[in-house]
Amino acid sequence: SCVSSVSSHSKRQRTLVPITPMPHYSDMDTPELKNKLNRFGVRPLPKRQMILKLKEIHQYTHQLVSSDSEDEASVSGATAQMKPPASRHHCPPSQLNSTSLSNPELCISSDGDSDSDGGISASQAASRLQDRLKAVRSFILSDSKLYSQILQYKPLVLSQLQEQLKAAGIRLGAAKLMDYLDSQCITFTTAKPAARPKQPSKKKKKKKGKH
Amino acid sequence: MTDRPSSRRWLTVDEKRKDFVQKSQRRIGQHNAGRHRGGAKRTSGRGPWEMVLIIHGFPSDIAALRFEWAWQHPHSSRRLVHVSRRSRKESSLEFHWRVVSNMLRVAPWNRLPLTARWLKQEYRMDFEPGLQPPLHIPIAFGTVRAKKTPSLQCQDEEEEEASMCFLCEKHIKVSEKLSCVHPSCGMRGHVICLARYFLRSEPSHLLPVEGECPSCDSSMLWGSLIQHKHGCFGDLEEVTLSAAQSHWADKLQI
Repeated sequence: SCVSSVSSHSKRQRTLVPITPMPHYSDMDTPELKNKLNRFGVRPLPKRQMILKLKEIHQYTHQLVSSDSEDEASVSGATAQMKPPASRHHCPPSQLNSTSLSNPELCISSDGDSDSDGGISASQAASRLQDRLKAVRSFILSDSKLYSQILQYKPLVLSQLQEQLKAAGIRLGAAKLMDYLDSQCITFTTAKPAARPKQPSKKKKKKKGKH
Repeated sequence: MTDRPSSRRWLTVDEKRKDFVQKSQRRIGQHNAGRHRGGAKRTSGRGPWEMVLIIHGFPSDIAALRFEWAWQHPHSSRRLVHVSRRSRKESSLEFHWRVVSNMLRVAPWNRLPLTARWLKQEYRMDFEPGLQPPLHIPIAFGTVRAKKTPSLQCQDEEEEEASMCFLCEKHIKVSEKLSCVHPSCGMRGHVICLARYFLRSEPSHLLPVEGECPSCDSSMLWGSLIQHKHGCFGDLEEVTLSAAQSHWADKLQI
């Protein structure tokens, strides 16, 4: 491991921290990635996303300064150790538990939609997103069964909605879709009714993992 | 052992669950009895607990559970990042009241047909000036109980009749039919036709909040129309204090 030092001209107190170099996540096979993520309580994801997530976690947990520090820009003499990525979300590592990816209340990580591939400006991305949201809205309005369900406050199954949208040629990642549904106060569930056989239980406890 | 002031407990409620009150009463009893009798870890050893404030009117269990989770974990909720942590001056109840005041104002909750109800007048608090709830959310006082008899299905007799939509004038299937909540008004309409009508003033939204009957012009909540359709309108009934003395609420007395 290597040790970095930071410039002492900032007012904040700095400490020298040993920094473990980032493992080569890109070279690992899927079971290994699953294992590593599991230690953070994160469920298995598509391989590419697991690699990104592990890199994110590593950067976040091996940063030189706190993530909300304004002094980040003034750090000099740092090694190649990077700052935490400009977050699309605000989850500190403690939020990364097994419920985080299925509970819409917790932070939703990047879902790898193509907007993140680079090559387009922020305003282009925003405008593209707006177009997609308009398409989602139109889709809902055009599908009487779906719209009626929403109007009667019946929860939507998110995965089913995503499939319907995909079939209609509308590409919107889960995170953005959830944000949109939230903004419209539309209730949804991330539980997959087919996959999970219902456990008989006497008491209805909070279903943290399902929403 | 010193006398402990009563701690507070609050529950969220799904209006469709007819036995919610019995359940929550049993849970309160369990919480008070401690962990070994089924109470939660967090409430064990503290208390005694009494129900002080409830939010009710959730149109689905999922909506109620999510609200409950966010209320209990405001700093983990992605909808409540603007809610600051409890200050030293704030009591637990003040903090939770502040959190719920914020919650009622933001999506995904600010268009639901909710009611905030103080069960115990002595704990009642006002909303802070900047945290008034949406206009359609009432603040109620007094205890409630689940209605023992199911609401009359007032739409039964109409199922045989052909109904025509007041707005588009086409036939309405039973599954898509809404009726004005006022029994004297004969307005019937498609769920979607009425929704579009109610949303004239809010074209960017999909879920209406309130509007006026196109026939009798009375103002009503969208939630009331849906509850009326599903026959669970008024699952909760208020009880006067004197009635409560001899009722289940009596068992909550500490």
